[in-house]
Amino acid sequence: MSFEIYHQLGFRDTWNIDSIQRHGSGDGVIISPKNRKKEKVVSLGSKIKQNAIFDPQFCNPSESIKQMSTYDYYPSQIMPNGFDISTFSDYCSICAAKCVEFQKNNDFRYFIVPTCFHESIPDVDELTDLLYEQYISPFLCSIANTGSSKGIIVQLILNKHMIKNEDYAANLLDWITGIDNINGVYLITELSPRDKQIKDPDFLYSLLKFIDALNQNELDIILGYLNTEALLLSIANPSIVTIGSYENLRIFNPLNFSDKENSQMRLPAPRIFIPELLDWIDFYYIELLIKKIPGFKKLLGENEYTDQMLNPNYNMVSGKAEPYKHYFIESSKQLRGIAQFKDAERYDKLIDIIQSANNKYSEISEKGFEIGDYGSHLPAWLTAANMFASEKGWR
Amino acid sequence: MAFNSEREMVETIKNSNYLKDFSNSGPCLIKEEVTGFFGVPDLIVIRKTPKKHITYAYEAKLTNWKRALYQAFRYKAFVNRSYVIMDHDRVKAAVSHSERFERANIGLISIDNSGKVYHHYRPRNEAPYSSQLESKFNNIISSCELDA
Repeated sequence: MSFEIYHQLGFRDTWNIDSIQRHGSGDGVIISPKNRKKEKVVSLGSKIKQNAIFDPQFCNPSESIKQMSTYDYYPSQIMPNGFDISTFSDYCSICAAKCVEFQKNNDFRYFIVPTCFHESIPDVDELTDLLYEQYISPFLCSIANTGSSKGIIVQLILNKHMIKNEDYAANLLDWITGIDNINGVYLITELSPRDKQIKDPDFLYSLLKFIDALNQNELDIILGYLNTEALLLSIANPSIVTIGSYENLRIFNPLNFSDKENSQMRLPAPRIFIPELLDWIDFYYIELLIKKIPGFKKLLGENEYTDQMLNPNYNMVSGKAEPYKHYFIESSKQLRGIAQFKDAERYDKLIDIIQSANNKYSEISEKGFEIGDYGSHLPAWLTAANMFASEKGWR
Repeated sequence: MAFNSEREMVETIKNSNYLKDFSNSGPCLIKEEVTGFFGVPDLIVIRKTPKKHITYAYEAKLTNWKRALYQAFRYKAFVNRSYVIMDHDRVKAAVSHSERFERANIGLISIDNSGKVYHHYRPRNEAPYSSQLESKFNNIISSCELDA
């Protein structure tokens, strides 16, 4: 089965919408209230909204983030003394009703049942009871009251311990697949600490198995906050994978949902996504790579932004749109390429892409480039993909 | 005896004959931790010769030569010669991989507590590899008075 590509919206989300409309780099968007005021969500065109997923963003309910105050459904606005987990059960139905009403009035693609994030690994029964009582049950009840037949997606935000611990993951799967009247899962995973790329093969393999198990239960699977590993995870057959512009939209970090975030913001170093290297490479290396490696320019992909960025007069500074729009085009091309295949064929194609990237990194290194640990995520990708393929009987 | 910190090592380099020789051979500018380019070198030196400027960048590290090599490679985006400086007592590992320095054309020197500098690989003069950063760096040069 093929999959769709959604843009994880955040800061400067007009870039994403423009790219989808002009270049077909996505099939829809995941809207972030943290970055778009309520009025600006309401005023989005109906064509965008019909294909949009609205993430209510309850992941850190104890924080009251300024940008989200235009929405009336957050616990901090409804509970008289701010969010308090011990009394939230008394208010969760009001939050759910208001949030569901907003989702219904805007006619998004699905109803999303939000969740909160746990950094630790609570007892699985305690966790599932809490999520069911405070989020799933009140939301399902409010959705039922709308009389709508729209699909219902339950959000899950899992940390690495939850994913990697086989028993814990199995219990979570038992629980989520046993909930009636839901159509899918919007899965976000948190891996901490981590580098820009995921280099933990066990985490990747466990995640592939988790997605596959959801798939076996005929649930739609939306994978949020993905970096280039979207390509790898596609072999587990998700329904929707995401791409995003800034790193905080490609790597989930709960700190981004706290007021502390502002003090930590810094401008990203200019980088360009190189599809055939499966990574974003520092912009200043590109000129030399093109000079020293025959055919390197082709690896960047061909689009109007590549030409602009390679123009000697182009002033590459942080905050420019071109590297991100280039990424949207080239990553969506790569993802659509692999989406044409399924199961073992998709896995074979993925392995070809990873091995080809590995060879290119070797060539770069042999030419005397000392560019750090670029490419060091690929062995973990290969291991995870191969382990998963063995389990599926594809190799 | 080994240095206790990179700062201590950089101070020793600054007071060494190695840097004094730059100043003695003509107009020269020495700056520490110049930001706004590609990485932050511990030291940069801009030397004026009769025909042109030659620019140098230095990354000092007590032990992690690989990290230093990656950083020094970045500085080649805007200078003519980039060096890794190691504590002389801990340079062995880097020297045993000198082929990587040669291949990347990154200089490798070490320094001891007395300020004596040892050359393990001398890089060739090369044009910076990023035209954008080269011209940005040249703006620094033209805005600075070089000491004679």
